Amino acid sequence: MPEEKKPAQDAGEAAPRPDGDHRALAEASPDDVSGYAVLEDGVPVTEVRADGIFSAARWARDHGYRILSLLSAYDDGKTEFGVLYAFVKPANTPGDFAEMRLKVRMPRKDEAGNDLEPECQSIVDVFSAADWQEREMYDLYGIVFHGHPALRRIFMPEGWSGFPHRKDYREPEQFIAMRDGEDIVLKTQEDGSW
Amino acid sequence: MVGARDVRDQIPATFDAGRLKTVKVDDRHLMELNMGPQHPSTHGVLRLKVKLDGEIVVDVEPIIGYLHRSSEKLAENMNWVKFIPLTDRMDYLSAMHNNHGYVLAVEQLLGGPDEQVVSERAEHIRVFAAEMSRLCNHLFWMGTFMLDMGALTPLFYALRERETALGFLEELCGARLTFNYFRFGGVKFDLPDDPTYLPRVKTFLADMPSKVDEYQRLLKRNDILVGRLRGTGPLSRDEVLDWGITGPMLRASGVAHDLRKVAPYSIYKELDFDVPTATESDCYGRLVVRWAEMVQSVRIVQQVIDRIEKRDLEGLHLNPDYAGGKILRVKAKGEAYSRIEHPKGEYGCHVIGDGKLQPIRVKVRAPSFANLQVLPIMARGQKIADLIASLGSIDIVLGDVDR
Amino acid sequence: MASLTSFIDQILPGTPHWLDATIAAVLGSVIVFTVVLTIGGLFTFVFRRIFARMGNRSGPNRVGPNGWFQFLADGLKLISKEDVRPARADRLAWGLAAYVAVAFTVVAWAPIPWSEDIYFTNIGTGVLFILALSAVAPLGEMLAGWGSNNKYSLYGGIRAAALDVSYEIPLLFAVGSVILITGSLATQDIVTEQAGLWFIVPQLLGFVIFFITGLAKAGLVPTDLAEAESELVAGFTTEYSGMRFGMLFVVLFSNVFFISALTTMLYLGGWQAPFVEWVPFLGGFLGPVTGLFWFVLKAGLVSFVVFWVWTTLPRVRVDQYLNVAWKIILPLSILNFVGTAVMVRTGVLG
Repeated sequence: MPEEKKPAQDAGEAAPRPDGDHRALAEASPDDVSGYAVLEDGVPVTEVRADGIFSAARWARDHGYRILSLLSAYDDGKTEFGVLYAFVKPANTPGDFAEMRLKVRMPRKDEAGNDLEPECQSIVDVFSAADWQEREMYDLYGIVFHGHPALRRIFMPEGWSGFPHRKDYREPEQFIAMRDGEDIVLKTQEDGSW
Repeated sequence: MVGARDVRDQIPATFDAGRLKTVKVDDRHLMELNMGPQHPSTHGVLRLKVKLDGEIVVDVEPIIGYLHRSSEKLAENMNWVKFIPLTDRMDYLSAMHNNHGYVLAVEQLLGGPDEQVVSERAEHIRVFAAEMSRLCNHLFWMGTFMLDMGALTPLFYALRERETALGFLEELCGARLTFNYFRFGGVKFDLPDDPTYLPRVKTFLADMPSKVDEYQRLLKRNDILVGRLRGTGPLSRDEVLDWGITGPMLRASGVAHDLRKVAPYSIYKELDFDVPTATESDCYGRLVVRWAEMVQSVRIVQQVIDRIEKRDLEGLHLNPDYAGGKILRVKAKGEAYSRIEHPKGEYGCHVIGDGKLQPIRVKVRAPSFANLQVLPIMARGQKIADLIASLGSIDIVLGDVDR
Repeated sequence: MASLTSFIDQILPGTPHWLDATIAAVLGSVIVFTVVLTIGGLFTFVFRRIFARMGNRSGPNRVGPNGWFQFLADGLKLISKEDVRPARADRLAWGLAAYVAVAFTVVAWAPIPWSEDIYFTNIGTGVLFILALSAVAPLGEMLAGWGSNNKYSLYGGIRAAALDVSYEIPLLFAVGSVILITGSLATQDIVTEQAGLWFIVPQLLGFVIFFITGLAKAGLVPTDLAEAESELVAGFTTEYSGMRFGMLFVVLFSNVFFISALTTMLYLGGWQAPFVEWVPFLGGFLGPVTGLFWFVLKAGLVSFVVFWVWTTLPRVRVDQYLNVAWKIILPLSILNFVGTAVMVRTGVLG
């Protein structure tokens, strides 16, 4: 579960402050940035709003972080969905590594308690590599990436209903596969077999 | 929600059988050929929907998911350590690296007091196993790539070497393909007690550069091969970076971005090796880069063996106090992502835990998945034979693509 | 054939001549067919052995003495398989393709001289007969490609057509150069004309051209594009199973010997023994079958080279090979032909 981690030495002090490129991003687009944290592996991550990730990603790319290293969604089962992005600078010399991480958190319920479907901006126009990554996250978590040119399922067969990696996912009782005009219906039996 | 196009309407509600017939695109009649999940050279169950204008590929759409086993979802029902064998089965041709990436990520979560370290000896054994696995991967890739080109013998030469290397790994951990070797805090077994083990490995490694030389002599000056590979599947440097390509494909376009050098993990900082690059990312460049990487892997393993034999390395192969002595029932809390230089590119595991035995999320950043996206860009405008060459040069394993 | 007819006439006295001739013809065809298919079958085994040894493996070595009966086992297996016909295949084209490919390839063997006295026929237009019939064989591939109703097969058939047409012309020019020297189309004459000097010496360029174009026409690596396994699954043979596939497969291998036999006949002296002027022993040490021995040895060596090339070289891309055919090999073959004509006219050769 993502939380602001206080390093052991700094126990009792205030939350970590962004510096370096993270501070520059926070200053450049303060409306998009919604938080800052440092993960357990010591790498800082800037939390960005779901409708600000596109410009934040573009900011990152314009500042040299050209390789999309990670686009990973998660469902923490309790309160939120999230997508973690990691962008990396291509390096030619040893030790020259630089990485920038952004995170989008999408709550499951709004203030009134209604269910929310996770939505986020697509960064495909900035990083073409996000194409399949976002399709995977849509397929498995149902996160709709607005702006993606063809957001279809990638692993599951087309026509599958439900998003398998969600914590509240239940396998469908029936899986109907169409083939050449004739239906093949596979039905889950009571004991769970087909 | 701000967005360029509202895609909700475009998400298909029903299954489209997608009949294969000629399609009319811009006044041309294109033939749609399906290189189906079963095909001699798609390296696994990959489906390619190819639109052809005669022999020229106008478009290709890779369709994946035939080997999707939802490993990442399974992780949420398993212990942290039970997931290690599952990582083996993703990229099953270089399983040590899959282990390594996952174990590194979780060790970040378990990191804390000073006992939570991986001992020097364990680190050396880890690099030894990993680089041997890289050698096996590149050998197998070369063999199958040549097979796709129609050259039948390099496969057997490559397999001959690979057999020996796999034999050594079998003596090390008991398995040839899915090793299940790494653990949090070290590796499962120490090096074999057999005193001839390291000398035998050293003999094998001493021969390896001449074997790589043999492959190069057989293939590098072969006009047919060069004619088919040069200029095939080209990618410019900007395209490579834009599409998030990592690994030998990235290095073939001149960027020496090797995570073992730029973001060293384990003991790579102390080892002496080069990062081979090529000037142009086409099939030939990627072949040359991987050949050179084989030689560099040999060099690394030789140094590691040297250090194991000559220096007095501290620690055991597995720290018994790691995680309070409960290695098999670790409870990790937090979020981390750590990356390694997998033979196919950047591999990493994004892990989230909340202090329980089961992870909340394990996401595997699969290099084959990320690299496969670029196939349409590489293959457009080229011939069917070049499509096969381009696909082979990406070096994918469907277990990694689909997980 | 004349001798076979008279032989039958002798053992069946009292039968009319036409009956003898008919029986002789049928018997002769059966013999040709058997020889060709046996050689083809044996070569499937021989190739697998050579390929294996070159790849540090053993190859088939279980069935029969050292594995030599492997092809019989394969044949038995293929015969016992179901002949699966694709439902929407063009019945006539798909069905006929295998027969066409086999028939024309087998018949083309007839004029090849195995020895001074051992041959199936020695018609005056032997070489023309061979070339004409082997030019028809690609028709079988194209029929298979079209009739299978399968896009992979179609690609295989189209490639076969393109390749065979492109390489036909240089082949004809190369063979034509040899005919210019001998002045005769009869195959036995071509061999006997090489008594003092094998044609490979004055026709080195022609030899190389013939070898390359022969490989291309036979559909062998590096130009096995019509059947490129890694790209087209199995090319034009995709929809064939059982003995139909067996026939196509065996014919592919018998073509290897066919090309080798033609090469031997045209350029390597056929059944003539080498160095017979200095070592006359070589000319007759096996009595009447000496010629057969030399012929088989030479053709076998050329076949080995063909297998060697097959094992080693990767596959060429279609457009590259067509480029080479039209831009390099064709001009060279014309040059060879004209040069030979000049040399013959001025009396330097033949």
